[in-house]
Amino acid sequence: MNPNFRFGRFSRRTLSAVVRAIAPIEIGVQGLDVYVVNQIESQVRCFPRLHRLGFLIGLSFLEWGPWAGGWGFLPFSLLKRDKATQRLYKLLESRFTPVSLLVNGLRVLVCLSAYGHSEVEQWFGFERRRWRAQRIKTRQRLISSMGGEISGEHHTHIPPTPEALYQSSDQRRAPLLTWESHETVKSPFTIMEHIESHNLEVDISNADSVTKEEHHDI
Amino acid sequence: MISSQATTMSDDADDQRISPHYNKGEVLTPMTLGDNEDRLSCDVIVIGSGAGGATAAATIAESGRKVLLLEEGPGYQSSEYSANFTGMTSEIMRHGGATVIMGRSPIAYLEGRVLGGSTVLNGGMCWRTPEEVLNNWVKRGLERLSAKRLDPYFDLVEEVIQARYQNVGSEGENNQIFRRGAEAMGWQLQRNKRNQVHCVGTNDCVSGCPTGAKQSTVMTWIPRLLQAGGHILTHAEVIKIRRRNQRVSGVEVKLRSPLRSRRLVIEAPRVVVACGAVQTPLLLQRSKILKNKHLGRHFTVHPNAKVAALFDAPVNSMKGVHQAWQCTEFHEDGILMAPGGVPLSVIAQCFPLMGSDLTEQMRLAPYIATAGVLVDDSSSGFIKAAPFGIDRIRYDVNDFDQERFIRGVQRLSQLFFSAGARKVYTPFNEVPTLDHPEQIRRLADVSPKVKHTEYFTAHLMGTCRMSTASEEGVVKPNGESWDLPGLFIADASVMPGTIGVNPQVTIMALARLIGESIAEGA
Repeated sequence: MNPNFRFGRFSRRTLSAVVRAIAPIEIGVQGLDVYVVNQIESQVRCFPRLHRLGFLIGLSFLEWGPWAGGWGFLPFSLLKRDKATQRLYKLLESRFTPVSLLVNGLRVLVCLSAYGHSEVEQWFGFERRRWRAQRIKTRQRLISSMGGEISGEHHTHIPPTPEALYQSSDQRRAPLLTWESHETVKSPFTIMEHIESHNLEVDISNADSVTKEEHHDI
Repeated sequence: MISSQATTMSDDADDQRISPHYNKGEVLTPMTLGDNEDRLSCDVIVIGSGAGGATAAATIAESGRKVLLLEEGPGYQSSEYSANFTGMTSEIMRHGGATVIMGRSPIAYLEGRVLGGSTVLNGGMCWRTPEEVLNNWVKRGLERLSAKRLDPYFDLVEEVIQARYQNVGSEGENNQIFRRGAEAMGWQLQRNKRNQVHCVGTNDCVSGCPTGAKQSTVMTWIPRLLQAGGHILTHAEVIKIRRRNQRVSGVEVKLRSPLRSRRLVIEAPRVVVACGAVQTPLLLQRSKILKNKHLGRHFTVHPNAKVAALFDAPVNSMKGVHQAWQCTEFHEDGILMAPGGVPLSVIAQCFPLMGSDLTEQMRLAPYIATAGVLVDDSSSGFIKAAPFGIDRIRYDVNDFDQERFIRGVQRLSQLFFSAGARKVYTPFNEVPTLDHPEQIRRLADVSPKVKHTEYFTAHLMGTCRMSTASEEGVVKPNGESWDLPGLFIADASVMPGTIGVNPQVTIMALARLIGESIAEGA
């Protein structure tokens, strides 16, 4: 791991071209390619030194390999999107494992970041962040209405972790780490029973698809 | 400044401090460790804070021993886990989540590098070791691992980690589809117990449960360790285990800090290695302290392959618990099927597509359900440390297991079609989609090759297996190394063979057993 690692200008240019060839740029999310390159940079930072070097060599191969090998005139970063995608498909089918592994690895890294972008998720109808925020509130209300505590009896002081947070701006770091305890949470048994008994306005999707009787039978 | 060297177990249970500077039950980081502190000592060092390490550490500390738990990664509380999936993979997973086992087809795997280890990023499934597996281990002479003897350990572990069924209403449509399909086929379905308290189906298990419902070791064994007076040091990468006079004498640690990385020596007469089935043999090989031919061998991975299916109605697979049921109908055949709700970024990887092709395909993402086939592997691989960090981690899915994968995917496809699927996406590049139930037989006709199949795993086992004789394994039945007194191993690597189910509970039960041996003075 090298927390100071940054892509150089040429690597960043090639990687941006790879992102444009794989990610859903046609949906018009502003700055998606820059976001994905930054996310990949944060992951590559965590690679062992030689893996990082291998990754950079792989990008150079992608950029200059076809030109040097005589089976393509333009460097990868100058290709139009469709041509770039076609080239990646071709390399994915390569008989040489390191080549297909490189392209498959890039595909996975790009998909992970691009399709994890909040606006991309929304565009495709996957409002994961909203669901997540709603669930966190739901559980807090559930636990507190039961008389339990989210952060409870085992308070343990932990100093702020010194590792820098490079990945995103939406990370919140609390100065103390409090151990969470659920020992006080004993009943009721199901969320549904509890919600019914307390008339809570909580959206539990698909709640009616399994009846309580079925649950107890199981 | 520095506590006296511990050559024997501390007799005074009241003085469990590793140094006069620190209080009992304190969590230390390189920033809080004194600048001049370059040598510490304790009774027992435990390396790794996952299912094995945290359990063993808490067990030993509760007996009054001076325990220091070392964790390479940082420590987080639930509210610190971000919604940024990629960001979290860099924070809590080894190599930013980009870890791969090489072989005929590369197998991606995940490994925690955070306080709590892989229990922070697992799905939380709690299954006891199947009795037939334990019977096989007993046949190898491991009497201590019989079902009768391990049952109290399973009971205790399940109580501590709060293994229980999901609350009604938290399952989500992805799980319901799986249930409907299995019921339509008349196949046996078992509800998962998970280590959770009132999980509301957020389905962010893999990047750290943000609600605090999942009872990782950070919620369970680690508070017990601290309560018992044990210490934790985070950001501490163990680079070498030291030996002196034919027994273990401590460890060398690299403390990672943005201000100054530095080395630290910690001395102890007993060291428990619990870094997982991959990192444990690598650390032991790099330390050059064992000459055991089984070290790093017998590596099993319980591989799985994902299958997706397109439905008419929205599925929204990220809504609802990650996995509520498992289909155990074919478990005797070594095949397990289970739903697995995943975020959009993981669904995107189900298709061998890129660019505008993938964008078009992903328009259907809210209508896609996901599940996996897990095969109880008969193959095994190896792990070998190499210079410059390019370690060899090798595993090949053999033809026998591949044939079971094909059968498993056929059955899962049947299940999905029975639940009303329009189309099934297989993990085989040679037959990527099935549009109709009648096409299922094509899978057997084509017989997809291993190199054209995409696998994934999170269940890594073996590599330092337990045995009754030094020629057959790396550790004794009490977890101590056959070759180096004072060195113990307490993680998934000691399993004498694959178990065919999610290994969390088995690891904790074995670690408890090994921890008790150390506490009793082994």
